[in-house]
Amino acid sequence: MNGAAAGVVAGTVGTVVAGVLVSLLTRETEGWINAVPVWLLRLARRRVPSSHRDILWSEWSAELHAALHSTEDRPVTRLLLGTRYALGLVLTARKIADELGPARAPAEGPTAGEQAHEASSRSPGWWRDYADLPSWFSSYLGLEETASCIRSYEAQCVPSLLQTPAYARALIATTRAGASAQDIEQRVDLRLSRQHQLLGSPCPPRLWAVVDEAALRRQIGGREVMRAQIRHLIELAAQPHITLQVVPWRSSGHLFAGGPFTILRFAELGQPDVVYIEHLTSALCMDQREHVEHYMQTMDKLCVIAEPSDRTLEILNRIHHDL
Amino acid sequence: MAVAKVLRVFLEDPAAPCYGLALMKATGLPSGSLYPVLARLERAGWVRSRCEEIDPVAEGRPARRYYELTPEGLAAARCELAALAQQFRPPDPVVPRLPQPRGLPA
Repeated sequence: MNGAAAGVVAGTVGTVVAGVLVSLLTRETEGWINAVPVWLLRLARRRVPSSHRDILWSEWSAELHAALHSTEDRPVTRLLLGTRYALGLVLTARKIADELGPARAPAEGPTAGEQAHEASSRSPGWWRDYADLPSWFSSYLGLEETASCIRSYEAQCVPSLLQTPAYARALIATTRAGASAQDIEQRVDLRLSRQHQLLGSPCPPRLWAVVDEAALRRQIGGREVMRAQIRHLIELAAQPHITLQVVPWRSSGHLFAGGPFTILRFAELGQPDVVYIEHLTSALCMDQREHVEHYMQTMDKLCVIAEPSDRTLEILNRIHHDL
Repeated sequence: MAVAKVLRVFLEDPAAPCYGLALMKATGLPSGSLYPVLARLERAGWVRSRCEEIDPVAEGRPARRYYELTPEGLAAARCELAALAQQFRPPDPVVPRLPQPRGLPA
């Protein structure tokens, strides 16, 4: 009898513990798992001939967004629906484009809704409107646009993708002394479009930035600009696809990192990671394995010495208070 | 038969514009079967599609693409479904069947 009672108690405790573990695990892996259908849909997009790629992508990504964010179903159901949706398209993407043929050709001219949508999805080559863009930078934008994960280390300033317009303007005016006001505005505009294209798209890449505390305290553009910039970072860091870690004053991260650099990772199988390092007049893009490996290890070290991302909010609030 | 399923959903309420997920649900077809059919119908001019006119930034979601039957598609779909139904219907008994006489094999 005692044995049976102990069995029941053990069973109950086991069930409760398992339930708690599962719920913790679910919360931990939810963001990661949600990336699966998005990744599949990107794969489907790759299989569509370029003539139909944009128009089908905008339709599919809107449906996937609806499937993953529906309020009716449970998270698991939504995930399954999204995955099945994207998987079906991976298998038939080419056939759909073939069936469509000349129908819905780009010549029909986008409607207002499509134009508005285009602005919110990643439209390839959007930067071609900007004259005098150095070729090395447009090649980087081409890579960045297709990246599924962007890891960035910055020691001197806030990473470009996370800057406010006022901060970007002040920074560009400082680094490009002697540039005309129009030139500066164009560069600010380009930076904002880049942010909008990447972070505002329905399937944004994962952005993981490690920033030195010095970069967040250095007053670029004055106190008010800096305070607004920190508030902007607080908002951005709360977004699920953005991770921000701060390297505190006391650590020596900036010494072994050498300087700011970015690593791009792509969703497509077999496409190597790329390390991007910008200089004053040019930039370096490397995809040789030994170089990338070295930078990847450096980035991992930086992430370890930086404060964990769950402390970022507290640190940003403190910096905002101190400014 | 996927085509017939899609057409039937459109015919149930020709005025209701449908988007991909709703059509998948209504027809029970997976995306891999539905979209090629929609593309074929669109190319044939039976169905047309248009982008939802919303401001994606204000709505916080991208605009969806809606499908609807064209007037030609509506007429053609009715015809085709009727023909299909005719083909699969068992022949109508014209004369009421008489009870089988007992003792004889059926």
